[in-house]
Amino acid sequence: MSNKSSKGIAERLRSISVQTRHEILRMAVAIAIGLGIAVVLIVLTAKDPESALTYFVGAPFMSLSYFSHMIEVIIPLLMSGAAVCIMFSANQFNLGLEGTIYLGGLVAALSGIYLVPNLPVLGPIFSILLGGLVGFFIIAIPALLQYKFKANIVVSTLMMNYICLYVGLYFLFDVFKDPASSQHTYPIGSDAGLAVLIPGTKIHAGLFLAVAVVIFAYVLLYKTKLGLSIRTVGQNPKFAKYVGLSVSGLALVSQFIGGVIGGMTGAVQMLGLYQRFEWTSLTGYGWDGVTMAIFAHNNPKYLPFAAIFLAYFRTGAWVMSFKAGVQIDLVSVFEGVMVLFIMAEKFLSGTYRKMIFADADRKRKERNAAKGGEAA
Amino acid sequence: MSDFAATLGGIFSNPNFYFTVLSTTVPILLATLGCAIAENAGSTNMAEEGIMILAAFFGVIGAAYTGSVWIGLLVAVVVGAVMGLMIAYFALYLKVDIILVGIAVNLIGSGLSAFLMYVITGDRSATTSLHSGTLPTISIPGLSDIPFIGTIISNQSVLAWIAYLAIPVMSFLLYKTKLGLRIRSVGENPDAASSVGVSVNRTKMAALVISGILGGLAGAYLSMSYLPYFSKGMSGGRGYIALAATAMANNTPVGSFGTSLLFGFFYALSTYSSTLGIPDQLVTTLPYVATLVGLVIFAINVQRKERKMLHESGGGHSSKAQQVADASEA
Repeated sequence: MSNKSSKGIAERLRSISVQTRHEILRMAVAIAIGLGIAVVLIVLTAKDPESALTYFVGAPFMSLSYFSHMIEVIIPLLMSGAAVCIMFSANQFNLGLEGTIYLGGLVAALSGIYLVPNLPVLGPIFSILLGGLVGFFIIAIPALLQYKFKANIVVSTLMMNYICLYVGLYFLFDVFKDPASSQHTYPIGSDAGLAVLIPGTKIHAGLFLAVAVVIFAYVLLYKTKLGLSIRTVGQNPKFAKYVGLSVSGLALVSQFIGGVIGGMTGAVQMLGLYQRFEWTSLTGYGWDGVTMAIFAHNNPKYLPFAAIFLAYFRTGAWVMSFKAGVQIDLVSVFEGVMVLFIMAEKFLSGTYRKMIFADADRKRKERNAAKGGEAA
Repeated sequence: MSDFAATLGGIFSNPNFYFTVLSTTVPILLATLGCAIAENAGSTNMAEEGIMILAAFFGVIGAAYTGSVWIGLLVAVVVGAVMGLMIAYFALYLKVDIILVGIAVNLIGSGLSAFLMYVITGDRSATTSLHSGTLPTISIPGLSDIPFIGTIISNQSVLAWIAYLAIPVMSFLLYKTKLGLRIRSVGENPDAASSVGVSVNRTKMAALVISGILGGLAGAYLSMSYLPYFSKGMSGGRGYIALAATAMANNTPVGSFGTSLLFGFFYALSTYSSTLGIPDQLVTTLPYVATLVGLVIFAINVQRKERKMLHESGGGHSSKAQQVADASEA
């Protein structure tokens, strides 16, 4: 019995296509290059490279507060990653999440200050939904401009981000600012924030929502007809058109969903970690979503791995920045380099060819052996 | 309201305002021209933001360590060119989607500049301690005596002159030279271009390197003219604005001048908004809204043209490839 099952595993491993195996190899090499560059930079620049490296590689396991920081970082990564996965699956380079997150956060904070300051559980849910609604309306503008007029989505969403930022800043400074402060609103109501899950940490209930959003994104994209249509449009628009799918309509739907999740991401982040609205610049979580989608190959199934991976080293770099004086900006270099190599179709293409030949050789030998066995 | 009009009139009749408009336009203009030439070759260069910030940083470092701002400028240009090459390598030879290359380069640029700044200067926000200096300003004796205009154009940085001269130079390059024709044909119809013997990748690479050099100049202007030091995140989204300005200008150099001037104008106006009593955030929003509107108008025009092309029997379709063929025969 055990013999049979182990044989099964070996066969399954072998049956993974050469393409998948090559993708895994490419991913591993990309991560190695990224880590290698980070390590070299740390060794060259840190005063005490040994302790800096220790923090970079192991910080999340050194104390509970570092570990909880990692979980905090994971929450927005999962949500914005899911949003971008859905939009990129339809091959829409919608880069407007930054704006939805910013205004989603603002509206959720305002809702927590003025609308539902004292309503536990339902209050935060209401504020988050409101954030999602705002995200929907923000994304709807560039998405509809593309749908109706074919306006370049990359450019229009980048512009929307700035419009959101400055409109938000206007409301922050000229309408809702706490007069006693320089740049933040009144405090969010005591029951309007998201509950802390583990006392002593900042891990908040947004984690549940983040996990739910990832599951939703996976089910939507891979288990429903709508998701299949969206992916078909993304992979082969001509074919999609031929089988009667509405290409631009599905692109629109995917962006609407992405926008809603984007707004909710901002709301969750605001209600989970902040006492008042104090963002004076775009947050960067939207760009993180793009990085996440790239790491996950647009499949929400892989988002948790990508989130843990990124959050792990971000926490390491964060701890390293105040323990060993190495700037946290190192992480951007590390992630940028990995993105480049992960997405490089032709990277290691020579190895790919060799792998295909080796695979073909092995199959031929197996066939010959089988034939020989029959003959004997 | 009449108060408002009077203040606005005061601003618009003050030559210093136009001086500010011209100087805030410079980095946007350079980056926009950079995006435009890449876009002409069919590559969307989203990395101007990252190129600018790296060039701004390394320019300052080069200037500080050699004691010469000119070497700093050279360093910035070289950094820009190398970044252009790198983008071309990843996008054209390793087949990464060029928009993702842009996003990655912007990540690397903002991270690496901030990281190295702390390593080199021990400062987290700016390199003021390096005293890297600024590039000289130019005032032409005869011109600076003209009453109103003299104030506007004299004492502009040497890079401002280069930027405004780059408009006709770029027009000439794109519309009057063989390289320009190749760039445009590769952008419009790569298959047709390669069928008449134009190397698509090499042409695109040339365009991206020129694009990188322009981004390098924009970065140098930021840290060696506009401000006398490098500060964290100083490119401030100008690379993205450039992308929008290019799209709105239909990728032409002269159009790029117009659209980047629009952004420069509102940038300058927003610095005056406190005297106008209107929130500067809303003034700052205007160019972005204008871009959205411009994009839509542009897109409608393109659609109309396409429909027209369909009606005519497709005769004009291969004309550019034909021109390339003629040019290479000559």
